[in-house]
Amino acid sequence: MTTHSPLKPVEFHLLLALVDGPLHGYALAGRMREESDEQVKMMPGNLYTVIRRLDREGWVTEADARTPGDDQRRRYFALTHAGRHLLADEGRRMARMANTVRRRLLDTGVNDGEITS
Amino acid sequence: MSDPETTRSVIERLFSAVLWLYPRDLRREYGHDMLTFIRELEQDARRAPLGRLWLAGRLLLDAATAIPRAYRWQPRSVLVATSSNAATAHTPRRLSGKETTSMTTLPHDLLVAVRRARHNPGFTLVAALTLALGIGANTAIFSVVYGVLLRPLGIADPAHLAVLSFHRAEDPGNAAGLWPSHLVNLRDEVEGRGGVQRLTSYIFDSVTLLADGQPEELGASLMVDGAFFETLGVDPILGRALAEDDVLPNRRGTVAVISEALWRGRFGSDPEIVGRTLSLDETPVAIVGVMPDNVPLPQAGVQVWMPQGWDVEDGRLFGRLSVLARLEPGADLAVASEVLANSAARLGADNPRFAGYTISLRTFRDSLIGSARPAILAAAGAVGLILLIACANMASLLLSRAVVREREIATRRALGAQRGQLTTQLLIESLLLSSLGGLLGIALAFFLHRVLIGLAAGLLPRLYDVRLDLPVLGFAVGVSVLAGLIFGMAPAVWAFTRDLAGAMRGLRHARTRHTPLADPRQALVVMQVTVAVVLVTGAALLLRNLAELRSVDPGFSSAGLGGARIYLDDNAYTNDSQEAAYFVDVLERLRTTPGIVAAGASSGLPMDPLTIDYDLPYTLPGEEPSDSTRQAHFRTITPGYLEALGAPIQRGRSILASDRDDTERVAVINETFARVAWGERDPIGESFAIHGGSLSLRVVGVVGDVRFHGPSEQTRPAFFLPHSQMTYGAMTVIARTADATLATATADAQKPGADGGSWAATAVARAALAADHRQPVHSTFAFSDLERGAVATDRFYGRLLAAFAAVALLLAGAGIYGVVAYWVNESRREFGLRMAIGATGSDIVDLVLRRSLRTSLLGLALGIGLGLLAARSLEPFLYGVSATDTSALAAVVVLSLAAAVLASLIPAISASRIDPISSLRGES
Repeated sequence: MTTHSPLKPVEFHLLLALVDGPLHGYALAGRMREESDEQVKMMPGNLYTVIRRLDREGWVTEADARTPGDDQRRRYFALTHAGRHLLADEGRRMARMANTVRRRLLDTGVNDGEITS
Repeated sequence: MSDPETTRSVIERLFSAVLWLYPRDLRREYGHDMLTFIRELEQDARRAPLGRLWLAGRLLLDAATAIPRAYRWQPRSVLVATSSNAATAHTPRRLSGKETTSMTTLPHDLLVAVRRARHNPGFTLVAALTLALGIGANTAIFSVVYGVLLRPLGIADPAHLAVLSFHRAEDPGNAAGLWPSHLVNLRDEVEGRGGVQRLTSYIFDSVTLLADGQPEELGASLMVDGAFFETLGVDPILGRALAEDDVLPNRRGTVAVISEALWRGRFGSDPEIVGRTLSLDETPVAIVGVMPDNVPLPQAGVQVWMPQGWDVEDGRLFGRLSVLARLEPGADLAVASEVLANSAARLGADNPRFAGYTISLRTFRDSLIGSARPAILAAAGAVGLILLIACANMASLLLSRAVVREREIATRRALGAQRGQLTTQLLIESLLLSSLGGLLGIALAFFLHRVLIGLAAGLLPRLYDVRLDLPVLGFAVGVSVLAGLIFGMAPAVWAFTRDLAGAMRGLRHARTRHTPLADPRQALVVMQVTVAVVLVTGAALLLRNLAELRSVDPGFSSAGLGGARIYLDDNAYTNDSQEAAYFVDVLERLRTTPGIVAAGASSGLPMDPLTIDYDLPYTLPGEEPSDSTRQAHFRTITPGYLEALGAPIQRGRSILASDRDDTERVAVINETFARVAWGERDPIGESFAIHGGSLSLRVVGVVGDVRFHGPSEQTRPAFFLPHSQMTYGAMTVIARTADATLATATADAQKPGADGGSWAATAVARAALAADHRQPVHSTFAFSDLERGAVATDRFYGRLLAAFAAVALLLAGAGIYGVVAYWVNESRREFGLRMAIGATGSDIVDLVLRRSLRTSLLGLALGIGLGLLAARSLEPFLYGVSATDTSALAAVVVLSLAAAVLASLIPAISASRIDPISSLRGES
């Protein structure tokens, strides 16, 4: 069982944001911000540094999703199969961790409602 | 002309430069997308107030954190995923720590520096803000220096384009226009000689543009000859320029070139504009070209250029032609000037009217910006001093930190760190700080230069060329790097002159901190105070001067006075009697307007920047016109004008309605004229002659002196003629209201200093339109605004220097504070001991203040000495005060001492609150 996350929160949110389909940088940052409850606000420098890393790792790739009116030099990014699997693994890992937390807290007498609310 | 370079925003340009700091592969792959992203963020940010400043800050922080990360990460050879077939590479391994250490020292040092900066946010913020203030102010001023003084003019070979000035030999500052016949002679004589290739002439005119049935007076239009555009060498942005063919009799008045501003504003940037027809002065005119706005032709703001249609005999043009000369490549201005002066001398010999006149040449650039140059350079020097103070603050801060890190540095040296390595690390740290300061400074400069443009509007030439673009940003970057290197050297040098062993043992040996100059930081404080005091001295003198100028009596009363400039259309008003009748009509309507107590018209107003006046030579009975050097200002006025202005008649009478075309030619003179011409004698009934002795005038009244060009001017001789006897079509009608409450009933109420002047101006405009609705009003004004405008330049520089002085004092105060606070902290034991043996809190405050003030007083003394020397360079700008004005100096001393005391007081008070017990135990 992996207890150590292979993904940093920023990487996780980036992969998560791409689940529904390819996005370009600005939209990607917007989606990450939404899905993280405004916790992850990416600015261009860090966003593309992370994208490059994930691209090199093989989790994210460039996709051709340009609409006709778009800037033809604008890049869209999509999840690779590896990225999708990794995200799924991470999801399972987080679920396991959540269960562990819940179980351990119940052992100490804290009830479920207090944890979830 | 859609140059992408000009449409990009400052933020975008700034960050496309920042891109170069990223690793090359990242930049190549994603650079374009990053800029697209930034553009979209900027669009969002536009909606919020200060949104873009906030965005710039966030982007900077983003770049500062992303760049070291981008370098730290190196792609692993195993998993360089080329495409989506990397599917096999499930959950790739993370990079191990060892792999990340394979990097060059530079990014490593940078990373260490970034970490250090982030761990010490207070220090970083103070340091960056201090520098941002210095670099921002310098960049803003440099944008003006570059835009006004250095940026290419857009004119072909401006060094060989010269402005002709026709003036009396003894009075070069007072140029007259040329006569048409004179120009014809001059052309024959000088073209092709002495390096003069060609002369071209132009006349300012005023034309009425009729579009959508609304007449609009075009501010400046020019009648140019066929050689004008070729001589200046400027290409149109659309269509063609005017050429020799256009001034042929059959083409005159049928074509025009318009300005880019008119094209964009009035014609919505219509790409098909060439060939369209305009109605100018009710004549259809075909537009043949559009000229760029950022080229002075021959000054900014001209809206229409039309071919000249004058004859040599046209009397209305006498004295109105302005002339430019194109010199041959390599020609010498002085030689050409001499050829022209000789020609003028021959002309004077033939024609007594031009006797005593000469011609001199200035380069076009010089005449455009000449008078602004010394003031701009002085401002640049002053703002450079602010940067000096900011750098001294930085050096002082870094030195203090180096002292704290003494043990770390000593340990690293003992462990064998090379001098070069340590120096590099220290320099990179200071460069990081200065870059941060520089970037913040550029953001600040972006706002400051806008503010400057707003304040300097109408006072400086070429403001349209002032912007933050690549050369200016390059300057900011250069200054930041230089500043970083200079103040980074201080701790680096210091670190290698320290006693190693002592530092390692943690010994704080008895440094002679209390005497100025022993500690480099004390020396820096002395320097800062000195420089700040120099600036404060300059500012105090200029502000005293301004107060002095404001108290000068202009000779009239501006409260409740307003007016409108009306330049009659000479197609509709073809003779003197029609012109005179129009103004009589307007004034009649005004006098019956409720609320108006007086009204009149004049060919020129005091302190009006739009009034172009020249002195007229005159002679007293018995004098020969050719021998006389007498000249005086002249104005033609209607009855009621002097009364409306509030200039008191001291003897005799004013101009009256009974002075008609068929009565005796009369004049009212001012006090100075009376004194210069007749001394103590009563001038009433005396006579003098103008127009080469051909027109004799009898003096009927003497009026009080009026400062025509503002309070700094000496009073000049002037005379006033009745409009009925000397009719002009271009007049300014003024009216006075005694009822200031009228102002509050109108929109005027919102304006500061509203005194009814704008209300009166509106009344004049209404009366003018009621008299002839086809005749537009050129412009309206309140007199109080003209009066403010007359000292606007003095006010601008006074305020600018005052702002500089305030910033300098603030920074010097911060410098004093930093050093004293550090020293108080170092001396806790000493203060604790003193208090333990009976010193009270106020004794300690006293002690700290005295020690700190010793340093400041040295700076103050030096500063006043240097300030007095520097004040000599201000003398040309001072009218009412001397450069050693005692009240200004007293203010400097009080202000500077107050700042020094204030800056030392906070650490002094904290010293007095030291708990003697804990400080003696060594706890802090």
